[in-house]
Amino acid sequence: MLSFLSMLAACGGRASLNDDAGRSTPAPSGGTSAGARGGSTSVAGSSAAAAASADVGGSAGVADAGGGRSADTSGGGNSGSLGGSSSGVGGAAGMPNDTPLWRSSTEPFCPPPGSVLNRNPIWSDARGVSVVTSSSSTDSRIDSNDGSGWKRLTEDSKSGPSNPSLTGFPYGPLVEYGNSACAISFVEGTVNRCSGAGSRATAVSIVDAQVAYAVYDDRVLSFNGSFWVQWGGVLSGKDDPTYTWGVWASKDTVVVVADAGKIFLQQGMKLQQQAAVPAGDYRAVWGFGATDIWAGNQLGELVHFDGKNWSVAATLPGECAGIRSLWGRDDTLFFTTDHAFGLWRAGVAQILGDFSCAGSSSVMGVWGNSKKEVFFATQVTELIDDACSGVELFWFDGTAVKAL
Amino acid sequence: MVLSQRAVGLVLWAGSTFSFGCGAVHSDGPTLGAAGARAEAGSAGSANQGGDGVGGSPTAGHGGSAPQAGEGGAAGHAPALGGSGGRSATTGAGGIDANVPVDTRPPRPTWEPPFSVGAPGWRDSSTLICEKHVGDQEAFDVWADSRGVFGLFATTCNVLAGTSCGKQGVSLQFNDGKGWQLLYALPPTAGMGSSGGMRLSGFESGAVLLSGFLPDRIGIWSITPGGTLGLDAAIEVGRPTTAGSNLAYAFDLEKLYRFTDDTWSEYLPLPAPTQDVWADQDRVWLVGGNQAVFEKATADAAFTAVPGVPAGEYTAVWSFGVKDTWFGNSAGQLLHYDGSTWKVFETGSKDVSGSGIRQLWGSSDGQLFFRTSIEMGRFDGNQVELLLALPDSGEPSVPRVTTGGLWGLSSTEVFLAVSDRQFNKYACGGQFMLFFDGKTLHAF
Repeated sequence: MLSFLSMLAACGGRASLNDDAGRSTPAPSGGTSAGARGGSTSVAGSSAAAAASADVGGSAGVADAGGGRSADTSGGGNSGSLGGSSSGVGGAAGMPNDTPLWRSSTEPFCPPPGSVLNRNPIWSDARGVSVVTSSSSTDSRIDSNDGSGWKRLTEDSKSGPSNPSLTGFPYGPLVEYGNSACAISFVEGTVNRCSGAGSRATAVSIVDAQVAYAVYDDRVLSFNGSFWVQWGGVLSGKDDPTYTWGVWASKDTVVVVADAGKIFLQQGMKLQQQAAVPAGDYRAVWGFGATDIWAGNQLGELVHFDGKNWSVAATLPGECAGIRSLWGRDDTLFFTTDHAFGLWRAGVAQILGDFSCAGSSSVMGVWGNSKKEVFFATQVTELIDDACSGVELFWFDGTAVKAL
Repeated sequence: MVLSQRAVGLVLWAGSTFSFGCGAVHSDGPTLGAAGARAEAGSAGSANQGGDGVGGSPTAGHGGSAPQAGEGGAAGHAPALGGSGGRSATTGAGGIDANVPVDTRPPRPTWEPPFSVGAPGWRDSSTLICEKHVGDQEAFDVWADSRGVFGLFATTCNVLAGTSCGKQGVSLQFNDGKGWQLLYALPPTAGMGSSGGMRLSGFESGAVLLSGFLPDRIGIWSITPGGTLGLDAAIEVGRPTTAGSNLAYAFDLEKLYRFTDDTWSEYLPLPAPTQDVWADQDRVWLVGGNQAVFEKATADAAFTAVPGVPAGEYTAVWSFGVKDTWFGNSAGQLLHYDGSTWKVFETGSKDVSGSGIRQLWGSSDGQLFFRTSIEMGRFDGNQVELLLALPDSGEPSVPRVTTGGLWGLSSTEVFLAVSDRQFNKYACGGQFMLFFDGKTLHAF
């Protein structure tokens, strides 16, 4: 059974990541917009039901991507949901398609059978978008698309991470990281150079060409322009282990999120564990600034820090709503859960596309160049041995989700 | 805590206690100054006068003077070894050969390894090393001092995995430049099971140390050329690191042990899980995972974490001096620390085992040699180069050739123990000792 992600079509509607649909056949789902009513944990299922189903009285709401009614604020609350307004379904993987999917690129990404997407596998800058896949415990490859089509950037790396993730320095090298004897590698052109020789890197945050941070287990590494060194002491306490999952950093702020309700924030030259953090195993963090930091946990909660307090801004519904990755720009925060992706803006969370929780489909990561050029990576793991390995990439142009 | 004290009966050389099996093996009259570890200066003169005959070793046992050695006996070429004292176990009167199985494998064809080697031979030794124990290889290590080169073999069996029992075992061979000879062998019946990852080291002109499982327990053992084995300390450690002739260190998961005054004892708790130790008379370096690099700068100093350590899992350390220390990590990189600045060197290693740099050895002229599980290389003062590298293509996921140990005497006499699994089916097995002359590798 093929996997298929139906896109927001002309008639709007959120992307329905339907395991049962065919990959090459658009299956738009329309008319599922809802305005937020301010409830903190609600998701409207349809436009008709939105107003009725949304919680009322909270500070924020969660809404589905709207159908043709973009910027629908009919449900009240303090913001509206985005509506899909354009068609944007690309052709089937491996099939010629003269219609550009993204920029001038006409062919969807199609890795060879057996390729695996791991957590946070996609990254972009103005030069293009890149994806890392792995095919064994040590073989990984990076494919890039500069807008003209997908090209294999690196040969199979025999010493690559076993669970590779990808980020990069804007206009600089890509950064491949994961579990490996060389946990962090810089990829420039086709050359893969070991940069951080630890055995694991769970997350990496790039600040600029000279500053970056990484986390693994209970430790934080900083990049000094030449190599990575441990930054501060271990984050575990006695009989209180810490397992980090995410890091976000700017020139003056470093935030690390971990299991068991632990968030660490830079204060001076040290990380301090934050008090009064909502419970949950945190998996992702993104910041717009020192007083506007977002963390996502396995409970599906988007937790916000305003410079003083951490509080739950929204809770995504469902049993598989655990937040996996975050990326933001301007006033919009994009998120992925295990089985869905969406955005948060002006107090409203909006699902742009989702898979069934019961299926083997997963949303693995998000990155973007602007809030009108955001990329998502998904995979149907039961199709891993099929053509394209069940991998599908999408991009959001600010109004609609399209194949990539 | 004193773990054990080596007997200090340093005049046991001539006693028959340590002569078991010597004659059977060392037909040219080996005499190995047997027991009495690291003879003190006062006993130097007798250091080589032991065993059956008088050793003609070119070097005295520790403290002994060469001119005094070798008197009155047939010229032998076995080493003068300081050994463990009266607590030694013996291999029995049947001689060492009795512990070596009959090698029924077909003759070994000419070895053509998948890398460049020169004509066979080291000094006057041209016959390749031959190991008759057969089984799953657990160790092939090398250590050398001015007496010559020592090779340690350990094989085990696993019937369930398809490796039949009966010919596995442990042996120690020695070559002083004239040929290989057997110094010790553990018979198959006693060698069942794992050897605990045996490792080899020793004191210059003194005892040879083995760490691992022999015959019935894990520990640090010293071995005499006559086939006599002594348990120095019942601790499970990796390769002991010796410093000079009377100081050594070893570590387990929690503690650093020190050998001094002929005694192994608990020395200090490890500041972090440790992968390797290097020491001289004054300083000790420890390295391990999670950027763990610790220096003990003086005898009285505590271990201190070195600042600014590049992230990594550190696997090996070698120091040429206070401001000249080298490290290897699991990513196959070499790193240099001059006391304030770190520098990272790529080696070009293609080892995907994850073990990275397995061992470092430095020559007195400042050249650093290293090995990974499949490669050997050096830093010659200017650049890092691989001296032994497997071909990029055609190699199966399980490498044909793996390295087991690295040691040297100088930058033009460096030894590397390698195993070629394609030759395990032939007589003498797939273990080959290589000698690097500064330019080329040679088997011997």
